[in-house]
Amino acid sequence: MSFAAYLMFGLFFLWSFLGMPIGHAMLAAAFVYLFVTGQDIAIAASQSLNGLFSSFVLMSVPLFILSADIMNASKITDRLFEFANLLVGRLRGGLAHVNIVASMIFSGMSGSALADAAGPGKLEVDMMIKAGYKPGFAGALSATSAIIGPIIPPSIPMVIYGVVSNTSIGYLFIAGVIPGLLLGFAQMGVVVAIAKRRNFPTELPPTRRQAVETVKVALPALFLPAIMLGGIYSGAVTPTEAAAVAAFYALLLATLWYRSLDFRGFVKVLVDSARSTAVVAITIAGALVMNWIVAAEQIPEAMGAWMIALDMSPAMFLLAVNLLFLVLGAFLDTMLMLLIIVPMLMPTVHVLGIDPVHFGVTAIVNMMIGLVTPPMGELVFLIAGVSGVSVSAITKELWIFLVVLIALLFVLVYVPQLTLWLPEQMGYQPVTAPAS
Amino acid sequence: MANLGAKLKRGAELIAAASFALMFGAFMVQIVSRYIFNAPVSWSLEICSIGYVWIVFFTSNVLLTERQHIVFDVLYQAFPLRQRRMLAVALTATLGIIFLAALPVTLEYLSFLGRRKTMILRIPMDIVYSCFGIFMIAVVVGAALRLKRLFGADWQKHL
Repeated sequence: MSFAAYLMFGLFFLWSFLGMPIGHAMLAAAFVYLFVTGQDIAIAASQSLNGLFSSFVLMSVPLFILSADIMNASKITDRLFEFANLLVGRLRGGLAHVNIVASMIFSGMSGSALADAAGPGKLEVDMMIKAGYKPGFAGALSATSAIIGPIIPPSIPMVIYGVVSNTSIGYLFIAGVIPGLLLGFAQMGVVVAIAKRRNFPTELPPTRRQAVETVKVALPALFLPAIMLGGIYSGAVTPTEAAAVAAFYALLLATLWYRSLDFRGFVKVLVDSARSTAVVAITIAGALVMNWIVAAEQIPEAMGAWMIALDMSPAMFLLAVNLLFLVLGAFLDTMLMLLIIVPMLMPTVHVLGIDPVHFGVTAIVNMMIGLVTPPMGELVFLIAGVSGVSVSAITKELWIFLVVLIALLFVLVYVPQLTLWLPEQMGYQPVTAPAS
Repeated sequence: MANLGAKLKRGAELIAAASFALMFGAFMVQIVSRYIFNAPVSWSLEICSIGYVWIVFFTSNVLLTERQHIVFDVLYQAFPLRQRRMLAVALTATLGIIFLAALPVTLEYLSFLGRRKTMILRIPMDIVYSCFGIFMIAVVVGAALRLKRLFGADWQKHL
């Protein structure tokens, strides 16, 4: 690695830790590198423009954002909540279960944990507080249930991982299903375990008439995940096309069926989605340039050789990487880890014979846990922001969820079949460790 | 002046919304032509790409302020107000100067691309990629405006 590359990384970390936007800091550091090495400054423009222009996979990101924004703006998510209430409201701690189940259903439509927290999150916290739950617990549960969003497909982090690691997005999506369901069940397990001791309330069972009405209202919305996932699993359409169809279906539902979104509202949704897209994509643009430099400097190969010299077993490597991600995840943004750190680890993953789909899914589960880990749990901040519950009250109730989630993470890491069984049924051939 | 600013912002929002609608619409054309009429058209994919790069680079700094982007601000927030102001001035100036320095070569490259056209619709690439020029200029102008505010009377609002 050359002096200029050290300079680039040094400046990037310095600037971004002091508070410069991450994507801009990547571009600025890359400009400095290109200048110092006497290369053409315009490489930054051409790498980021051509990278975005030609990647149809990345174009699924704005479409996933759009469908989630349409669902939230037109209050379709509220109807899912009522539907979840019908399913699990009668259990002790009914609304807590409803919160988790609603997140699991919504995660089949949205690819982002932040969209899940920003959309149904506020409603979930409000309803739980009204029913007598402690505000801190309601906030902690809504934040943790939101992390299911990008594990059950679709998933924006998986799209980005797929792009940086050259892994099939379709198989990644399928591989996320079982871990996502397990995350939900684990959280429901926590609720069951503490419901009695904390004397959580139950919800009144709905009358038959109400039940029929709720199903009738929610059913068209429930088709959305079916359309999207069915399209991808059957191999009929690409994930990006499925994202476009899903967004179109959400638009039809919101405007024609529920009639809760007018033209003005739709324009506002488009502008908001454009903003959210730009926030994500500008970091991708910066990473495209930085990763071009990283590749030119042959840094991943050097890291790979270094790791091999350490003579780590795959199990040790996974342990080290996951502990590293858990610590970094408490501080760093998911995008930064996915775009800068993951590409550097990929050569080692391949050399050690670790399956890239399994590695990707577990790495993303790990990063999602980072979103609720203090001190920098973005989901905790977001839920606190939309619901008015204090960050410290939420943090106090978080630990039990964190313990269970981290335990589940390590189960997923060391039992790859949980992740890989479903894609194998669809024809995926997992990578196996080389015979040693 | 405030009125003009609001109109400009509204205009910029409409460009962003139009880029998004263009990309979304082109995707639908693509899907309908491929799966329903079984006669895929190719121009729609190019429209998708154009809409996408415009959503990203036009929106990024014209419609978003620096602090709305992904920032790591634990350290930043930990500084007392006066020091935070100095830090904000230093970072904003650094960003603005680097982007300003890189601007001429980038603009030259973008205008050089005018000789090339997109594969199917034959749209000159300098027009397609001009959003990157807009992005860089918006970063520089945004940094200058932020510096002015940081040196102004109500600087605390702009940290």
